[in-house]
Amino acid sequence: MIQFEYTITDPLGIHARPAAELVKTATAYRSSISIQYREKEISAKKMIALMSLGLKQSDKIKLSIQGEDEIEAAKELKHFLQEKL
Amino acid sequence: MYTGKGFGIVEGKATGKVLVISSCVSANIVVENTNSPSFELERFYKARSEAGVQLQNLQEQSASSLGKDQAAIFEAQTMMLMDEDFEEVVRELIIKKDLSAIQAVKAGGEKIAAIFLGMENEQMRSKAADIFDLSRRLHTILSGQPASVFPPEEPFILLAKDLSPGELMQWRSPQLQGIVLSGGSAHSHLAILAAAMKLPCLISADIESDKTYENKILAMDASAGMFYLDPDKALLNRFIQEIKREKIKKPATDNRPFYLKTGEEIEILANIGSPEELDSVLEHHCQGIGLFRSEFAYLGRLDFPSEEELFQVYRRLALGMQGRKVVIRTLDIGADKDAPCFGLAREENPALGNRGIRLCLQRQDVFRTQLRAICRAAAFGNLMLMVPMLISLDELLQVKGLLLEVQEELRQEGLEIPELPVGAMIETPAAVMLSEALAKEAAFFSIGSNDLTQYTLAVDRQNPALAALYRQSHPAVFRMLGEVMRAAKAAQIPCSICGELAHDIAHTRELADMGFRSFSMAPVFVPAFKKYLSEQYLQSASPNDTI
Repeated sequence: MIQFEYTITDPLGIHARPAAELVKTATAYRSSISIQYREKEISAKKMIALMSLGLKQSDKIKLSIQGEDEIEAAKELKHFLQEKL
Repeated sequence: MYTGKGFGIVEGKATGKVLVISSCVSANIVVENTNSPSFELERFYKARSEAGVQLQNLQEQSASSLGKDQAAIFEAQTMMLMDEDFEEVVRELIIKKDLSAIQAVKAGGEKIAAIFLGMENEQMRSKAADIFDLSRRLHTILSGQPASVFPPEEPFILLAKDLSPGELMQWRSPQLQGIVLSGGSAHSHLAILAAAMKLPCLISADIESDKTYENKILAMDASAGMFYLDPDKALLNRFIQEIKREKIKKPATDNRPFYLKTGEEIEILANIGSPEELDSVLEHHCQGIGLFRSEFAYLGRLDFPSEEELFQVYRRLALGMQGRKVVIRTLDIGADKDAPCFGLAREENPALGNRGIRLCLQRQDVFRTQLRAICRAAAFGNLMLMVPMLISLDELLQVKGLLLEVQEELRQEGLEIPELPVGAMIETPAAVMLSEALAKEAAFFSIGSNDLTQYTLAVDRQNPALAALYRQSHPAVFRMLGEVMRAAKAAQIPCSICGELAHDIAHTRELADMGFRSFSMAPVFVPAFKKYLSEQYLQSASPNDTI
């Protein structure tokens, strides 16, 4: 399992469009991918759950990725977050 | 040009294209489901794939005409449509609650939208609109009606027989200019919501909500009670100019406090029905919320709101008011309100029926959930509880008893639960007669003059034939007010007034002379009320130089 933390820098937080892109990126992998924010943990492959976290700028999230393609998935997700959020 | 009349309940002028809303959306909901769950489930999946195709088309169309960014919105909607959680909610409603696919997409959409509506951040709250769009799209497909599912992109006016508050919320858009109803009521929740949203609104308008009017230009003047379909150019231009001018001259609401000769401050509070109105409360510099009608979370839905959902709403109010008081009236629902979750039977006489605190004490499971949510949210601000429709001391004591149990329960769960003052809403003649006893147990009184007038005068406030008899200034009502105020003073508890009488400036002086210091009204009435205070009466920046 790979875990890493990320702090949202986008002033708009995770709004619908980047959320859709994030879910699309996550669902392309077979690994299970979860996002933890405060006491909540959700699957990064679920759009409504992701948006219901209500993530804003400077919120800190923790990603956990587990599965056969976890290395590639973690790399791409990290890249995506840094570029887009 | 067709000229028609109506009765204006929210003042102002508006112009726009007609959008006809047929109320089959709310009508469908009461139809019993006679099909098997597996059949309805299959209908849902079919409708979902069709909605997916529609969104795909929209995505392609907008990509070519508007650009990639706009198209991505439809992509996001597609993902919400195909979301497992949404599917799970709808599946459960169909299988476990035996709902039809139509009912399930409506109820499921509301359930998910409620999560977003409870959030603090405006941007997150607006996500609820996406969910409403989806459930409307599915609803349209399932009911086989080819209607437009998005609010138009240009100024529009809603034309309908009647609208539910939920329907109005769904059509809310910066382009929505006004509402024309052939039916409707001045005392409905829709009226309150339209006032809060500052949407000019005509009811009892002499026009059918006929599809043939769709897209025609309409100009309305709610203050004059007139509307014009297909207006001529000169009239339309005059309207457009006047609307522009009105917008410019709108003054900011006075934020100075007002005092009596005695140095006592006049308190102006807001009546609201949804946390969406918070901005308008702050903008009008109200000193608190004197009446939060908590029914909204329960209206038009098939399942009860969860404790978490209610907690989010109450917490938002508590935080939003930044320490100023927020009086939450506990659920006041009866057979006349659209709350299918209670499954209430039709009543001959809902105003005298199973409603308000009566219903809550019968459905303690539901009531406890609300109390728990309020107690938890009380930690985030200055919340108070108010009990509606009381006719006996025993009812108030029962509520206080239940509240203690709930608070104890929450403390056992390890939560910090602050004290919660419990007030009595005085709106029945019985409560007036018992006000001395009630004052010993209540932390405060608030007089609901609308119902008190109706019950004192035995005049149905929704019967247009009796409109002239329904007078809140009737001497019998005023004697009741005097009685309640005496009891409140004797017990040294505050007593405010929160019906229509509270903003009726023809009676403000009389009420102040009787001892009323606290007036609770819809935010839309606040500017006129403050103007009255500053011009006629009790204006001063400090108690020392009062007239």
